[in-house]
Parts: sequence; C-alpha cells; structure tokens
Amino acid sequence: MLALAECFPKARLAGIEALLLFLLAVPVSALQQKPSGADVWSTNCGRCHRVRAVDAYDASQWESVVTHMALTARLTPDETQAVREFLVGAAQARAQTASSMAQSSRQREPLRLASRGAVGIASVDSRCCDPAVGRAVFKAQCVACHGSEGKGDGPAAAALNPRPANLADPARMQKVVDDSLVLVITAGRRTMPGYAKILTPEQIREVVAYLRSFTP
Amino acid sequence: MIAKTTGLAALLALGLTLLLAPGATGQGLMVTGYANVEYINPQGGTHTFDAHNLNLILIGKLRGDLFAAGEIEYEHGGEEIGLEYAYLAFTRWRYVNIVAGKFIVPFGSFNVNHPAWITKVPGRPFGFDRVLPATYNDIGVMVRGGLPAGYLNRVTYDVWVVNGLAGAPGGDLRGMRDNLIDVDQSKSFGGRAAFVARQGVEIGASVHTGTYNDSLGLGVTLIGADAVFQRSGFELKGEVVQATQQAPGGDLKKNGFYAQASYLVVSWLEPAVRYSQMDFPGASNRDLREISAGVSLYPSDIGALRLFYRINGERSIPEVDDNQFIAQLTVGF
Repeated sequence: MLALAECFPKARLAGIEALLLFLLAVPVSALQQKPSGADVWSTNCGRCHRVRAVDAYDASQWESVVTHMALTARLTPDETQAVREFLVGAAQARAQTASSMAQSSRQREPLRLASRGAVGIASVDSRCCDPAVGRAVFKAQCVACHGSEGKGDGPAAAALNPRPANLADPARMQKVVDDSLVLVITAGRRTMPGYAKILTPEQIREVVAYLRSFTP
Repeated sequence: MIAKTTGLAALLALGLTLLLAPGATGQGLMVTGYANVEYINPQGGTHTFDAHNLNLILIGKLRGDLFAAGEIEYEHGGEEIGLEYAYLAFTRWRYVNIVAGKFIVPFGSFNVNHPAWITKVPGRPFGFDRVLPATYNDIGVMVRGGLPAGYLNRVTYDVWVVNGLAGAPGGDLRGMRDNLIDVDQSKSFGGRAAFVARQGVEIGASVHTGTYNDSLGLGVTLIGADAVFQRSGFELKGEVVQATQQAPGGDLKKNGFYAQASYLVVSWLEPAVRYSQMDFPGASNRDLREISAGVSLYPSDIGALRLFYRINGERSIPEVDDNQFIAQLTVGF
C-alpha cells in the first residue's frame, strides 16, 4: 500500500479516481436513458433497407413487422419496445383519426373537424404553449427527421421519400395555421407518424409553439 | 423435386399453423416479400430477361411471445422453388431470443442482407457464393439478442447449432448446403458478435465450424469480419471471409472479399460501386475479381431500377470476355 502511495501521489490518485468514476458513470447514465422510438426507427431501419413509410401497415401488421425486424436486427428489449410504441401507436392514432373523419361525413375538411374536436386534438389553450417545453420534446422526438434546426435535414431524412418538411421555411410556415400543425403531429401524414399515443395534447401544442420560433 | 415438395409442404404447414392458431389472425398475420426481374446482356453471350426471383414471406405472432416466419422462393420463373426459411421464435426473455427451425445462418452481413431490393448492386460479390455459400440457410437452433451499450448503441450476438454442410472430400462448399436431414452424427456450431453504434457504424466478427465429411473426419471452418459505415446518405461497407477446408491432400484455403460504396444524391438517385474478389489457391479458374458500377433509381420507397455494368476479371488464367450490362427492377413489398 505504501509502495502504491509512493508511485501514485495524492493528486494523481484523485485524478484516476475521477476518471474511473467518469468512465463508470457515462455508461450507467446511458443505459438508464430510455430510447426514443423515433430515434430507434430513424437510426436502425435505414441501415439495411429504405425506410418504409409509417402508413405502409396497420397496427397489427406493424406488430408483426417490428417483431420480425427486431429479431433480425437484434434490437435491445428497450429499443424494441420504444419502436413498437412509436409505429404501432402511430397506426392506431391514424385509424382513430380515419374513423372519426368517416363518422363526420358532412364535414370532410380536417381543420373544421379539428376545430370541432372530432379528431381528438387539443383545443387552443394559451397557458399550455411554452416553447421551452416544446423544444425539449422536439429534440427527443423530431430531430431525427427534421434536424436540430427544423430544416428537414435530420439523420433519417436521406432515406425518406418524400423528405421531411422544412419547418424553418418562412414561406411554408406562413401558410400553415397552428391547428393544421397540431393535426399533422397528432395523426401523421405520409412518411411522418402520428404522435397521439406518444405525446399529450399539451405537449403537441408546445411543440407547435416551438416550431413557430424557427420563423419569428 | 424433393426439395420443391418439402418446401411447399413446410410453407403450407406454417400457413395452416398461423391460420388455425387461436387468435392468430388478429395478431398481424401478413404476407410480404420481394421480387426482381433482370435484363442481362453479357459480352460474347446471349442477352436475356430473367424473372430472377419472387419470394413470399409469411409472418405472424401466434401468441404474445411466439412468432413464426417462413419464406418461399421461386427462382428463374419458377424453375427452382425452395424454402428459404421457416422458423419459430420465442421472445419472452429480455436479452435471449430462441429461434428454432430452418433459418438463414447470420454469418457476416451479406448472407442475411442478400435480397436484391436492399443490396444496392445487382448480383453476388465473388466469394459470397463459393467461399461463404450464400444464401446459406440451415436447420437447427439459434440464440440471439442485443445488449445495450450506451444510448442507441448495442452489442449483438448470435450463437447457433445446425446440421451443417455435408459433401464429398474437398468438394465445392456451395453444393454442400441442403443437409436437411443430417447425413452424419456431427453438428456444426457458429456465432457472430457485433457492435452497433448510433453514429452509423457496425462491426462484426463471425465463425462457423463443423465436420462436412464424417466418413473421413474432414472439417471446414469459416471465419469472417464485416463492417459498415453510414452517414448522410453515404455508405461504405466491406466483408471478408476465409474457409479452411480439410481435404485428403491437405487443407484448402478459400478467400473472399468485397468493398462497396454508395451515395444517395437525392431521394431517387443513388450511384454505387463494388469491388470483390475470391481466390482458391490451386484452383485458378476460381481466382476471380469483379468491379460493378452503376446507379439505382427509386420511383418509390419500395422499388428500385438498377442500371449496372459488371467487369469480371480473371487473375491467373487468360482473360475471358464475360462482362455484363444488367438492368434490374426490384421491389420489396
């Protein structure tokens, strides 16, 4: 012990101790972080094949496809669960939306349905819309496709056809009202999944508030 | 004929199992698959259309933890019919999935990722049909899974025991597949370990070993390594495999290698180039190399039209004029 102390002065020992703690702490914290389904989808599905549109299958089909692909890709249990919730949840939300729209045969315009609450999106509540909260949700759920600045250039964007929307384009964003954005996030559209089963209505409103900060 | 009958019977049995299992039809029973048709114009040969393959895949969850999958392949317009795989998977435990039946042996990368609609370059690289006899499927049991190694990083593993390759001393490994009912008492073992990083990196190492001729006690061992790097539409991948095959006259060493690069310029256009080679010391007509270059056009997310020119080269015998132009229309549905 004495020899060890001679070889390693106190300052050096403290440094080694800090390094060990850091090396141990990083993997543990990483292991504890629950994976985002959007991230699992965007970083894994495109490794071997072009990413299949989220509306390609219904919920029960996605259930089988996810099981098949998770086995083939050897996803971890948490990754499998996250991507299952993401894709199956999106399909369920889409089906729910379609059902609601079919019931309202006289009102085919989605925005009118939204304003009547027919598709289950949240009504406008100015108290809920904190862009700072929306930013955190955006970073966790949307960056993979839309990119950190909303330009539609995230890591998964290259494999998607059509490409993710550029949310930082003022001309595009000026034409879109908040309710329309809420509807797309809730129910999904084309390659974009719906988030009705993943985000609360308040979180979706907060994301919309954050999206507006891209084009002040 | 026997393989054809066996394949059809097995798929029929799998289909009936899926359909008759209580509640199975409500749990995502579905038919999917892939197909490709080619126009090949070889130098000094006859140009032809080829309905290369139509593969139908049947998948479904029987119960919460029990999953079944089967794939039947019609090749060259139905001239050849085979069962690519038919297995049951038990997925109850978190890090251990058990697969039993006929499955694609997950040695390396190409053997699993061989369907035309995902390979990006038509045809097989040299070395991945004669050294590793892709598509190599076998019957047995496999344990596989993934362990977390940081956020969206994982270490994956596969361990399998199968009937194994079987054939004549020093024979072609490709002809040693289809050992459906094991001809000897020896089983083959193998495994693959890989690290998958969220930054688009995957590195794996594989081994497969067993006796292929029980009467003379001759064995074959395959070792391989594979890697892929992907970033912003760019992909670079490569794989190497070596077979050490015991033979009466001494060990035969067979080597195969390929490297492939591609770049998704826009969502509908992806040029790619591949170099591959294989060599069998002592077998000069197996000492070959290939360069393929061309583009893939994507009209949708399920289909591709690939236009490629393949230059085949012989390294230790006089050059043979057998380059080819290949137009391939492929879909994964």
